[in-house]
Amino acid sequence: MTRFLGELVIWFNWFVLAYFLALHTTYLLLILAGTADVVRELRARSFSGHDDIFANPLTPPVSVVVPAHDEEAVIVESVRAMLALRYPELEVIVVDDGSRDGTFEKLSREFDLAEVKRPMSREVPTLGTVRSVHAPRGGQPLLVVRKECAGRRADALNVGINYSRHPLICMVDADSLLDPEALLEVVKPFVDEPQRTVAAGGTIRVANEAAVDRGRVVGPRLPSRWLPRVQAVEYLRSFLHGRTGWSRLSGLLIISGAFGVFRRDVLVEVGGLDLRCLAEDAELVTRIHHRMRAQRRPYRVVFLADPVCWTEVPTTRSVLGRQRQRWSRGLAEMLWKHRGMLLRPRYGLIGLVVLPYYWAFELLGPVVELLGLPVVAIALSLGILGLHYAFLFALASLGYALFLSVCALSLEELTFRRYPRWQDLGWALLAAVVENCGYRQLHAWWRLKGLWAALRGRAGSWGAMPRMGFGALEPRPQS
Amino acid sequence: MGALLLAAVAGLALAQLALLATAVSVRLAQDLRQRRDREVAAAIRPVFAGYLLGDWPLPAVDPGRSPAVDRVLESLTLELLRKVRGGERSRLVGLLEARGLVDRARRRTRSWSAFRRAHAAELLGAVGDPRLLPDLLRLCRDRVPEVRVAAARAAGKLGNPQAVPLLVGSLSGPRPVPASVVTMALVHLGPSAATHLRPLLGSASAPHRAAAAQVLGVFGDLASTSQLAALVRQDPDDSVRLAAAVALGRIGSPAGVRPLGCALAAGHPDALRMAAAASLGRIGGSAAIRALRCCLAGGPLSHQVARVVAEALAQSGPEGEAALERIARGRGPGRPHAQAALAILRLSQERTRELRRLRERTA
Repeated sequence: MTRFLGELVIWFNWFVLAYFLALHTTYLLLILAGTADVVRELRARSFSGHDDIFANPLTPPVSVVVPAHDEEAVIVESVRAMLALRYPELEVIVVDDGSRDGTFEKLSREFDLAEVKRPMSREVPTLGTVRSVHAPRGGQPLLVVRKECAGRRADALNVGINYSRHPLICMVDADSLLDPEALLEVVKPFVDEPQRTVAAGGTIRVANEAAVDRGRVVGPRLPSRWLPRVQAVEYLRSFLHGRTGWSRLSGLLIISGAFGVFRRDVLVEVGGLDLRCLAEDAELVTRIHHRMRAQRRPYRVVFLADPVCWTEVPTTRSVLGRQRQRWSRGLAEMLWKHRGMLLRPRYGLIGLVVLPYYWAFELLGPVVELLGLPVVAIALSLGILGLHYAFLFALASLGYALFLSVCALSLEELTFRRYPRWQDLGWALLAAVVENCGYRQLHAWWRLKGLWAALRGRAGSWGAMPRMGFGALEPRPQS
Repeated sequence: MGALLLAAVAGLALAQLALLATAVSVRLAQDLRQRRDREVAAAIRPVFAGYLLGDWPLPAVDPGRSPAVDRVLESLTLELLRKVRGGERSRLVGLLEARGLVDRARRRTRSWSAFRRAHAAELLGAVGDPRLLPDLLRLCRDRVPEVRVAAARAAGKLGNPQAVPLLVGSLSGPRPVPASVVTMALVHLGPSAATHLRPLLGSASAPHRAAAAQVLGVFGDLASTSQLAALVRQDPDDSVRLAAAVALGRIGSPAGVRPLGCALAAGHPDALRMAAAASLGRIGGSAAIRALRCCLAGGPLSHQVARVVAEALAQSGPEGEAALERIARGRGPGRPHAQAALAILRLSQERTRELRRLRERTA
């Protein structure tokens, strides 16, 4: 029995080693695949013709939909920034999703809102009843819709889609700030290939402690607190370079809900966002893939590394934990819903590579990661694994993970270099170490809890995320 | 096994160090280059400004011809060429030619580097010499999409109407240029290109017809109204009908009302009906308002079409407003949309009155 147990432990250890090797190598391949695109995008930036897109009378107008729930700390700054975006024709639709704070009052005061009658189309399903619709007396292209809270961000977005007037819809979180040119950049694929491009997303970067002036991030910097700082490096590695890689391989499954542009007709065709799924952004993109591939229609879902949306990330462990549990749970719901695509050649790369990757590494990753730790401890205590080997294994695994973070940081330095201060580079390197020693294990625990909640099938909800507000901190001088 | 693990750890550590060293060196090099460029710019800006204003002769700022000076001059000149006209523009082009930067750009259109080819196209376009058209049209067939886009854009800036057939031709073929880029390049050519565009409305290719219709609409080309009206009525391709409907609205001729009214009727695609309604709103006048009113009051029409029709009526002046009021009082399907459009119209009227009062008070 002991011998059998010993054999089992040894095999499991080998499995864990192979698993991490495969996971990290996939990340590395994604970074490498994305690098070519990032470099090309960067070099083409000087010929990108933003002025032409801006001046072109044929550039499609955009409806920017902003769901807001208890966002009084950031809402005015955020809406002002969106109205000031450099784009020929846009409208901003703020959907006040049953806020109990002063979100609406602040908007009403700032933009001198008046109640107007405006019928809502029923093109995509909604839950919460719309209470009233408001437009500014000053004539700005803004619409504020007040509705009852249904506890789902997707519901607010669907209401926004129903009220939208333009052929492109940009979904932006209320706690996010777009770079002034971001909309022009992210719309470019739609302008270049209007028939094929169905969705495009931009990069999400951490805005905590960045200097903000009139809704614009003017002094990006790494946050001084460790939790947001580690998230900044995490966003850089997995969200920026990971997604660029998937986009390069035409396998992008997630466009962040914080910043994504979709063709309105496609959104209506697929029925808007799923009101039951917690990862409604990923589910939407997967559903679009599902439909397009099932109908064998040519289409593109694009990720662009250059247009940036700055967002506030959680600063406390409890809020971050809730967020990550929700993500993990939403991912499980989404993967289960689209399980019919798994390993089906009809769905091409999505069915054969991307979805298996998400099942094996993103969904079940925390199970293997957290199970691996006690098994290694058992192997050590039974004397199956020598301390020397265990140390070397740990070092190799950590080294590989750290190598990936260094790859992402170096690529950032060589390309966008959004954090101009030398000390930010140093802090980012330290954060990459912290991310792999402690944060990663904690993250795996949160993801496991989210997975468990999905398995139990209890009704999930978004929960509150306290905001600090932009510009709350004085800008520090640049070095 | 232990040795293998040790080697892996050492290899990873070395790779990380190498990556970091590269990143730091590149950052240092970029910082140095930027500092040098700033210094050069500060040194040559007064000379440059004096030359531009015609006070000084051609500046001879560096007999040694340093690449930094060329780089800074090129960037300064390119930036200014987008903003100035007349004598100042000629002086800037003269400076580029005197320093051999135009010849260098022509040579670089054959460079192995796609970045250099695209950059050369941009400079040639900014120079705006129609004789450079063959160089740019060759680049419109380049193997790299970014170079083709830069070349098409630059070709438009030369303002030579001879470029029309080739630019339109670049819409199709094995190495196409995006329609939006070609359309904008055609717009840059200016209204003189209209004579070359009108025959393309009868082209066998739908993308060619659509592009020609869009650009003629932007030019407000009255002479193409009847051809565009025919396209709205009977073109087999929906994208062409849509482009023609938008163009008729931009031209604003009352002759466009009849075909647009037909396109507004039930049975046509919603996108076309919306474009027709918006165009009728732009044209205005009794006939257009009658068509819009019948559509909104009678239906059947989708939510989006009803909204656009109501908004079109709202922008058609007092007659359109009166039509909206009648529909808003009625019980037809267009009632909520008429009420919504009126609400926004009232806000705008209130704003106008407020502004007028303010102006009177300050006067």
